[in-house]
Amino acid sequence: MRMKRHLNPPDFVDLLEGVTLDPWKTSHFERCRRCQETLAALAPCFQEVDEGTSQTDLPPAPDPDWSEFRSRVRDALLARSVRRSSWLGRWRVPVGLTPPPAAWGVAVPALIVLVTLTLGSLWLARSGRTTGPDDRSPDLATAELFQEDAAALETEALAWSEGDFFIALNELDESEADRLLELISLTLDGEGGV
Amino acid sequence: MEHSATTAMSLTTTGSRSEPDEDRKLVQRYLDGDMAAFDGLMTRHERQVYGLCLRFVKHPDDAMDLTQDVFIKAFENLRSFRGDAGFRTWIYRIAVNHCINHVRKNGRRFVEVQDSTLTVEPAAHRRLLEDERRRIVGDLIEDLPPKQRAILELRMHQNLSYEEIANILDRSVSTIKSSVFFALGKLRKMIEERKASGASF
Repeated sequence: MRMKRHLNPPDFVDLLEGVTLDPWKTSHFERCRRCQETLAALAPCFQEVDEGTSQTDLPPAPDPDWSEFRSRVRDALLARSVRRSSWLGRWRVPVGLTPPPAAWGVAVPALIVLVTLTLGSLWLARSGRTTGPDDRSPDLATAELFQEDAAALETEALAWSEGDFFIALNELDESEADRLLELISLTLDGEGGV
Repeated sequence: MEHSATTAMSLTTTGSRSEPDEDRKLVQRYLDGDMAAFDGLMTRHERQVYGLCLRFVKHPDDAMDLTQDVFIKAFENLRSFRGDAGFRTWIYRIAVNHCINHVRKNGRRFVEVQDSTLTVEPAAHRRLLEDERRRIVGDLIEDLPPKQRAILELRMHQNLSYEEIANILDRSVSTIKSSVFFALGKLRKMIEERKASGASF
């Protein structure tokens, strides 16, 4: 039964590479014209590729200056790390004697919730202006919508890991970051003033 | 005498099994803030990564840019290197993925080559024809799907084993071998089409 099965693609590659197959596969191959033809069709191509890829001259080029290359990579890494830390520096709050990990543990979720609520309220305020007529009074409808969506947004925000949050922060450009800071301070001012 | 012995020893060490351990130590040292380890890792792998990138883009400057991107990506994510695969496998994985993305984004770059079948000596003519055929095969390989092309490059040019390629691409060995089989089938078809159209081969 087993003898009737033809060789499979990896077997042909093994044969091309000169690997010895299992005895039953070898004995099948010796008697199977179809498998022999498949190998015969692929063998010249394999040889061409082997010779072609190993002997093709790449464009003539001087050997790169590796020390210069390394310093380029080092500079690029440094620049990226400085850029990242400068963004993080903007978010550093004077935590006083609180140990930094603990401070971050408290501050980051609080910030996420705050930002989400702020953005959510702004979005709702905007969409509230453009929505169509509602049976309920506008204030009541907006308040309900706000509560539902804010809760959903808050859940979504809490599902974010701190890593995701920092990645998102890092990806903000300068104007976006400034706008976010502005929004937060506006919210804080608003809460303080009311 | 002593010098040649040292050279022989260093050559043996380069290809020995201690290579992954050495890489792992360098990675740890780099993560601990030792900048000398940065140079160590770069020196050990920059040429191979550059060679691989050059096979994909065929242009030294582009290959350097790709190599730089690969190392930046690698060093920025070095903490995610768990060490269960070798560093070489890990950085090759980044390089192959980066090259595949680059090829997908930028497509195939055509290089116009002039017809070289002029009046030349028979031996030289034969060599020219062989060179030409190799160039055509190289061009046809560029027309393969990027992943199949990557596998052929890794196997044929970088001389990596099928196991190593499977690790780099996170596939089974038999999948990699099947890809080679199908890539060869496609190449064969392309060569036949080329011959049928009357183009030189």
